[in-house]
Amino acid sequence: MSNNIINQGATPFCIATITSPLSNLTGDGTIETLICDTVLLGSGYNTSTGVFTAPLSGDYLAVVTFDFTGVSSTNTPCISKIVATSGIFQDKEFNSGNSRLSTGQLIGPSSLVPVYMDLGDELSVTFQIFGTPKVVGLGTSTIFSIMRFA
Amino acid sequence: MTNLCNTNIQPYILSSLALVNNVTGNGTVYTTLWDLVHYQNNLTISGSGVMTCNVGGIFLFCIRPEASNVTSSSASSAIYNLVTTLRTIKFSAMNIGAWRSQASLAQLSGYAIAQLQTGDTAYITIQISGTTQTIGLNSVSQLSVMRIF
Repeated sequence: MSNNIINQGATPFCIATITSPLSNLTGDGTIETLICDTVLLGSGYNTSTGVFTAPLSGDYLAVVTFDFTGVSSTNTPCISKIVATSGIFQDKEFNSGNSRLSTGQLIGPSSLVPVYMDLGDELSVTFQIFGTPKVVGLGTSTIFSIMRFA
Repeated sequence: MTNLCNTNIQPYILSSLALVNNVTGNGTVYTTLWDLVHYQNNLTISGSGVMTCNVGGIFLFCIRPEASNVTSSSASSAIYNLVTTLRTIKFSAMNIGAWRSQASLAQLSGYAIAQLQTGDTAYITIQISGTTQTIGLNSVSQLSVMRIF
């Protein structure tokens, strides 16, 4: 078999989302782990813990889009991080109160982070928003994806 | 052989927009016309902005539309979707007025991983509300799509 051949069945990837909206996760600075309840495609993601475990060593690409709900004008920083065995990558810090819609919804900006993972390494996503009581939740447009690309 | 692909012929697109004016702002849903295709390989894009997948797989979409003429009065919402045959992925729902620069420009990047089967289509829609139909898209806007496997 020549080089440049990829076996799709063996290429790790996973796409997961939230099908039941979650409320009162943060807003008061609480650091929450993103836990998607449904795997749309692929495998390796634990819907109880929000942790993806690498079935093969390699370079992975993690893509996350949050669908925050209940965001108000007094919510200030929103911080999200990719937490991997190999390190913690702070990916976003922005003013969620200014960026929200009048409905309190805020989708994006998306994150795209390349991470090297050894076999068995774990990766999860955390988020925190400050400025109000714990009233910020997550909606059904939240999506977490990861795939090995090299 | 099933489930095998040659990385030398991975389908991809890198394209950008010609400047367009007055396409949204009043809630009109605009399908972006990626009419300047710099590279295209086994993933075609039509003049109406619709991509058609010729080899199914898992694709990475990198979307960087830059809205122009974004004033504070158009601050209500910007909703950007990636619409595929299988699923619509909303990659932005934000107050674009708060993101605009002094030049009244606002670039919201979005990323998505999506599955496309052979023959599936995908396109990007942009809907901005809160003003009249005076918002356009700048030519620095770009779309990159790559089949990962």
